[in-house]
Amino acid sequence: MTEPAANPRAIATRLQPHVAQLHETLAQPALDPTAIINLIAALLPEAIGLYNSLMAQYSGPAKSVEEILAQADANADTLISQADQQGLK
Amino acid sequence: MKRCLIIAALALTLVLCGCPNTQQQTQIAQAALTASSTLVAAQAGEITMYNQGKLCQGQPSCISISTADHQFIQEQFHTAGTLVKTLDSCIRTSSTNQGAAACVSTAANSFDQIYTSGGTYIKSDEARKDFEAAISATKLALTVLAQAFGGTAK
Repeated sequence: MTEPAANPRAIATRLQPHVAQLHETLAQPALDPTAIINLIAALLPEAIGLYNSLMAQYSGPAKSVEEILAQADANADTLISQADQQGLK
Repeated sequence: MKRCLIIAALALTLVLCGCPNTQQQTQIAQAALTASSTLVAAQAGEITMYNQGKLCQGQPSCISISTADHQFIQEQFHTAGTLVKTLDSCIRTSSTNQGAAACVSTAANSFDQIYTSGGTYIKSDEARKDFEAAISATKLALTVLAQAFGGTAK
């Protein structure tokens, strides 16, 4: 997240080696907690930067907080009604 | 006059401090949306897997989920739906970003309990792995934001 313009391609390029390293570390038979935590700590700011950058560029017109929460509510309704249809509650 | 100006300045300061930053509130709301979208996709996947398992029973490489596991998982999704609704209304009524972050932290911690109960109860390895991955992703979406805005989710 060092560049002010938040170019998603540039962030993705910086993110790639971190992801590759994490992928490799997670594939080891014995998980090394310290290595994993350090890798995620290095990766997370770039991942959040990329997420925010893509959201800003590709999510269309900005939505209000209420619009976003209404969508989340609709998802919650789907979860509840789908569970009900499976014969629950 | 001077006293009036001081009172006005204090009132303005209080209003500005009390008003949540819209961009941050949007990010917090977005975390709730991301979490709920992850859950909806996982729920649909589990239902499909359960139904396919019923059709392919006895065949090689058939992944079959027991009805008891399926019902348990769907109960957890039902609970998750209620949690998301509680989270949404908590965010709506929060007057500060810290308050909204606290709502997210509380929800993230509740998802921890769902994760633990799934690991204990679900017998089907495949269903348990998928369930744990979905709940972990949900919790991660909430935790990252909560921590960024001063919440206490772990």
